Amino acid sequence: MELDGRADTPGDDGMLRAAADALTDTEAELRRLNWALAAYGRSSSALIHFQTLDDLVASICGAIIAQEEYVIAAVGLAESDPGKPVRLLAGAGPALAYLDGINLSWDESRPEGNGPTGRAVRSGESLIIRDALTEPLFAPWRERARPFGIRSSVTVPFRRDGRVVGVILVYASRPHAFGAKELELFSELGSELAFAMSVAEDRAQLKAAEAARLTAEDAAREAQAELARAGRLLSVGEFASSIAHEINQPVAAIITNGDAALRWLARDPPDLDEVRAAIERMSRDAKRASGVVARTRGLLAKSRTDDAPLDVNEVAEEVLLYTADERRRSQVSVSTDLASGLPLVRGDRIQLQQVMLNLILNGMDAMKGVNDRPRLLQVRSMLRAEGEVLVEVEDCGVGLDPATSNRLFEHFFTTKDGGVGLGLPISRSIVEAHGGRLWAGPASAHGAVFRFCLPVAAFAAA
Amino acid sequence: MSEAPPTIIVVDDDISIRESLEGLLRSVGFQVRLFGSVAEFLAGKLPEGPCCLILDVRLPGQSGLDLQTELARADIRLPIVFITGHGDIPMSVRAMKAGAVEFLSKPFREQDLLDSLAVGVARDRARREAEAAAAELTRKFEALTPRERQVLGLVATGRLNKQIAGEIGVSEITVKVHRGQVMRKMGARSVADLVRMADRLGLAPDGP
Ligand SMILES: Nc1ncnc2c1ncn2[C@@H]1O[C@H](COP(=O)(O)OP(=O)(O)O)[C@@H](O)[C@H]1O
Ligand SMILES: [Mg+2]
Repeated sequence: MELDGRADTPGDDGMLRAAADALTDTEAELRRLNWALAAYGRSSSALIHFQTLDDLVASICGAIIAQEEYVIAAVGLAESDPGKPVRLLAGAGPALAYLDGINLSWDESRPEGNGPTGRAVRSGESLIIRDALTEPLFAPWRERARPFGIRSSVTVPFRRDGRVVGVILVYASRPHAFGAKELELFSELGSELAFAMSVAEDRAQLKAAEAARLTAEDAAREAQAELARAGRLLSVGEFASSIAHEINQPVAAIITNGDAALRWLARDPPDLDEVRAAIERMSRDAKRASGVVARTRGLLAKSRTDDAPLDVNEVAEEVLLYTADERRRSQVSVSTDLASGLPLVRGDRIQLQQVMLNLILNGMDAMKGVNDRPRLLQVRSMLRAEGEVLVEVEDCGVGLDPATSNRLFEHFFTTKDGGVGLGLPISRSIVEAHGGRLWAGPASAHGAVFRFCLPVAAFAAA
Repeated sequence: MSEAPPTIIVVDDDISIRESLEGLLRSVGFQVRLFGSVAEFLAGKLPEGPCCLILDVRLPGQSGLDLQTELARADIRLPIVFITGHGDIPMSVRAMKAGAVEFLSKPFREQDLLDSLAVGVARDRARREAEAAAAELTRKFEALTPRERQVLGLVATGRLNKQIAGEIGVSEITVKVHRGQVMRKMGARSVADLVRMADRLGLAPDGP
């Protein structure tokens, strides 16, 4: 590189030499600056992409020793307790073995704590050994350093939250290798390192928090599934069979108690205490059975039990979600066309879910034997002019049988093998208890459409 | 054989069912033990005398069918009468295949229950008697001298006294004496009786 004007300027030899010296100095300075920028640049990308702190430090040290005259670059961490040694995190360079077995410490009361590292950590100031052969401070390590060709070094402390937490150590093969520029670069790397340390810690904490969150989420999901199982909607079939069982148990017990009472009575002489005990059990069990009946009536009551503003779309979506597994098993797909911005209706969410569930299960049942067309269930909602929300459930199944279609809503009317014949009558009574209507009709091509409408909340009697 | 009445063990989670069964079963003279779960039942001791198990099919935790499998695996051969409050047809098939005495739906007719319990108890009694007899037979066999055992084995194969004498190198008289001893010690009423015992002891004839 030439500096225009200077080289051409006439003058004496001295001036020329001075100019030439200045030129080499400037060239060296520029080269160093380039290196510094490169080292810093490489480190910065490392700073962004580092996986572990050790990797990061190793790559920074590697970047530093790219400058040939540097024979060691290393990073040591200082704990807040001076009694603990300064631990080398990573290092690089051809003379790295020099550090093997050296005790780095910042404990003032020990000889090894009074070298460059100890002083730098204690004072928080960088410390330069300009010439390893003459600097008194370096005397204890001089002989050890000689075979490694170490002639100068710099120790640059870095801080986190005001406290010195570590040092960057760089050794060079020529004396006077470290100037203000280098110090500035290393200090900058030091503060980046400190920052990376906190990032690494944050990440570890984040990871732990994430793990904790996942565990908590698992637990929550478990609890939710449990809740769904406990309070889940029952299809009418399940409902009826569970009620049948609930009533059957005490009835069976009553019969057996009756048999027992008769036998105790038939003894000679009759054992009246036993007879009395059996009759007491009978009366207890009869009460239990009638309790089940009363509760069932309550469940199927014509009066709705809850009265809250409801979005029918939400109700529909909940039941669709609830029946997703069942649909997958029966290979039924669903298309929904739920009007947005529907006004709310008032009522009992569980009961209306029950209605949706009955209609959807019936639609799926009706499509069981369908193999020549996709088993598609359509669920629609819309606003009707009369201040009513209309919901439609359409299937493409067997369709309504004209011979029996007027009996669909009769109690216990069923055409299915395992049917109970309560789904539709219960659904109709629920809808009517909400001030609405439920009716059936044929679908356009195949199958049936069941429709129900409910008054929007503003119109519903409070 | 104990004089105590047979024991019926009831495992059902429904207290109404348990107590009603207890009343009925005691009224016909059974001893009764009640358990609300399989775990409770397994924690208890089995009765000494003949017994039969009344087992609800569906129980919280381990089901009645599970218990049946487990008992079979542990070689505990309790006759089982299943009762169910559901129309568990496939389960009933499974239970009967696995050796259940009967499978009754609640409510059951009293006579059906008592009949199947009678079958179960008879089965259990027969098994116990057979086991006791086998144990007794073994005990008697073990009381024989080695020579007597040898003679018994040969008698069991249908050898005549003369043949036996030749085979073991003693006089026919000696064989007769041994044989008389064997008959007496084993409590056999006839040679045919003795051969049957030998058979039950597994001293199978190794040829004609
Ligand atoms: N989507 C449908 N397509 C054709 N028939 C239907 C449909 N839904 C109901 N049905 C008829 O109405 C009867 C009564 O239905 P329901 O009251 O729900 O009782 P279940 O489903 O137990 O039979 C059904 O057995 C069936 O014959
Ligand atoms: Mg139905």
